[in-house]
Amino acid sequence: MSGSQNQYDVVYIGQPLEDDSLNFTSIEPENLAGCRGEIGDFTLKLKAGGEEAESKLSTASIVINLPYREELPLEEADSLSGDLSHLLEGENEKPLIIIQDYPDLSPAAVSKWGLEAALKARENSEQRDIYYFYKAMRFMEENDELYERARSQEVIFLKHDLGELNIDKDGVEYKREDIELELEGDLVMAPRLSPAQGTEELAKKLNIEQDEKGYLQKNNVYLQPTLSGKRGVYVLSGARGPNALTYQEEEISYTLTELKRNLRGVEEIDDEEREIDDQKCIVCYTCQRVCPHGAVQRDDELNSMTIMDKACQGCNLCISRCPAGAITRSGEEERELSAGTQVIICENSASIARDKAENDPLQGLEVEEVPCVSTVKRENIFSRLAAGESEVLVLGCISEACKHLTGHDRCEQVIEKAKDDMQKLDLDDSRLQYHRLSPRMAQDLSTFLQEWKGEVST
Amino acid sequence: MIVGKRKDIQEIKDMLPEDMDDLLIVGCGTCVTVSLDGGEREAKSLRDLLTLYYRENGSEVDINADAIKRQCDDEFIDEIENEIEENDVVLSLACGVGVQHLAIRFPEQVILPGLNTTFYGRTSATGEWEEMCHGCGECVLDRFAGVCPVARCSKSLLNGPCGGSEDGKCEVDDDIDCGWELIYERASELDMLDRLLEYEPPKDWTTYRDGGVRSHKNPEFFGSGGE
Repeated sequence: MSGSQNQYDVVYIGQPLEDDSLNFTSIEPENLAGCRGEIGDFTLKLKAGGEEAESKLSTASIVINLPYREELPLEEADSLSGDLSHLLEGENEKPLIIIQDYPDLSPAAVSKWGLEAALKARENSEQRDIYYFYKAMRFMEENDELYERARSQEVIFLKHDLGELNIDKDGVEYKREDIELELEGDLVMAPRLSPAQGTEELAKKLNIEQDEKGYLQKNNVYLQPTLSGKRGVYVLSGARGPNALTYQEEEISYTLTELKRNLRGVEEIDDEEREIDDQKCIVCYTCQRVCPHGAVQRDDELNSMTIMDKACQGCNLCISRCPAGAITRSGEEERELSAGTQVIICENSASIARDKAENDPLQGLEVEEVPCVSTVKRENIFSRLAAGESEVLVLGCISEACKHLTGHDRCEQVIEKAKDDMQKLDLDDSRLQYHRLSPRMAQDLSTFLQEWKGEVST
Repeated sequence: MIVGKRKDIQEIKDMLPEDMDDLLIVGCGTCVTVSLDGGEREAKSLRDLLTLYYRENGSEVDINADAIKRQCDDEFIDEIENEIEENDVVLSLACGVGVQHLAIRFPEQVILPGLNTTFYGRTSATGEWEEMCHGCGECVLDRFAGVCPVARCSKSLLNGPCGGSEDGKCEVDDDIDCGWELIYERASELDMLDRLLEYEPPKDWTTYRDGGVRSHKNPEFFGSGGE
C-alpha cells in the first residue's frame, strides 16, 4: 500500500470497489482534467472546483466504474432495473406484462430480473395473467431453472420477433399468424442501456478506444473481461458495456487481482526499444491518435512525442504511420529483398494457423513474422514489389481478434491505398493482397493461397 | 496550418519528363507533414512506388527521397542544395509556397508540384481536415462569434444566410455545414445574437486577392537602424 499524500494504489472514476487492502480514492468523471503516464505510474490532473484548486493524483491503476444511462422505451412503463415491489406484491389482478429485447437484445442479467419479477408476481397471485415478451432468453447462473419454473407456473412467453408488437401508454398489441392480443396491465420493460454521460470526454482524456456504442471497451477477445486497450486502466459496469451486468462478481474479482498485481511491479511487453527522434518529431500527434493502447504522450521538455515503455504493447503502428519518419525500433533490420512471393504474417493469427496446418502452406515463400501487420510500412510494400517479379501477401487478423484492436484495420487501409495507386499506374495490383484469418483457419490459409497464386499467375 | 493533398499518382507520373534519368522527391516537414501527405513518409513511399512503376515499364530512373523542415525558408533548403543540383528533376511535396520557393532558389532546375495545396484548416479528426480560413487579410472573427463567414459560408455572406440553408446544411453540398447556422448557434451560446443584427458594410476585399499580389514587412526589421 502506498502511503504518501495523493499517491494511491488505484483511483476509481465513479464507484469504488470495497477492498481494504488497497489505498484508493475515487473521483467523478467530470472532475478529471487529464491523464499522463502509464501503468504503475499514472498522474491524474483534477479540475479546480468550488474551493478546491487544481490538483494531481498519482496512482498505479485506474478503474472506471460508472453507471449505465438507462432509458425506457416507453415513459409510462416501469423499469426491470427498478424497485417493482408495488407491482408484484399483494393480490394484484391486473395482467403483468414484461418486455425485454425491445428493440435491441437485452443482456442475460435483464432476463434474470424479468424471470424473477414474473415468479415473484406469481407467488403473490395465482390468478394473475403474466405475459413475458422477448426475442431471445439469455442464460446465466440459474436463468434456465427460473425460466422452466416460470413456464410451469403459467407465465405466458411470447417471442415478439415472430410477430408484431406495438406498445403505447394504453397497452400492448401483439399479432402473429395464430395469435392476436390486446392487453392492458402493469407494463414492465427492460431499459435501453447506453454509456454514462461524459464517456466520450473520458475516453479522450484517458486516450482509450471506445466501441461503436461508445463504451470504453472494444469488442475484442483480448480485452476480456475488464481490460481497456490501455494497460492499467480497467472498465466495469456502465463503462464496459451491457454484458458487464451478467458477470459482475467475476469481473470485480479479476479486477482486484489485477490491481494488486500491478503493485508488485509491471514488466514491459517486449524487449524492443522504440524511440522517437525529438529532432524529427513535428508533434503532429498522429502517433498518439493511432496508438490503440494509449502509449504515446507529449514530452513537454523535449517538445516531442514520447512512447511510454510499459504502456506500449508493441504493434509498431506508430512507426508505420509517423509522417515524419521519426520513430524507430531496435528490432527493425534492413531486409535483403528477394524476388518471389513474400508473405508478412501476424504472430497472433497466421503464424499460429501455419503451425497448425498439416503441411506448411507457406513453404518456399519468403515469410516475415510481425507482432501486428500494422508494422507494415507503405513504402516497404512497394520496395518489396519492386524487388524482381515478386508478390506481397499480408495476412492479418479479424478485427475482433486483433490484439492491437485497430492495428489490422489500419493495415488494411494502407494496403487499399497502395493498391489504388498501383491501379492508377496500370500496375497489376493482384500482386498485393491483404487477407484476414483467425489462428484456427489453417485450412482457409491453404485454400486462399492456392486461389491467390492462381489469380496472380493468370 | 496549410493543408495539402498528394496529387493523384497518375497526374504525377504524367507530369514527370519521359527522358529524365534521376528524380529527387522532397518532402516538407511542417504543415503538409501534419496533414499526412507531404512529409518524409510520403516522399519515401512515392519514391518506392515510382521506382516500381519505372522498373515494371523497363526504364531505369534513379529516384531519391528526402525531407527538410520547411521548404519556404532558405536555411533549410541549404541542407539539400547539392542533392537538388545533382538531380534532373525535383518533385516537391510542399505546399505551393514551398514549390515556388525552391524554384526561386534554383531557377534553372525543373521543380514540379506533387501536392495540391487545399486550404488553411484544422485537424477535425484523425486523417481529416476542415477549411477554416481564406487568409483574407482582415480578420472579422470578433464580429461573428468566432466563426468565419468568409471561409465557412460557401458564399462568404456577411449579413446572414442565403435562402439555401436547410437543416443546418449548405445548398452547395449536403456534407457542408451552413456557416451561418454555426455563427447563429455560437452567438446564441455566447449571448451575443444582438451583434448579428448590426449591418455589416461591404468588406474591403483589397486586403484579399482583389488588391493584387500581397506582401508585408515587419517594421521591427526595417527602417532607420535596419536594412
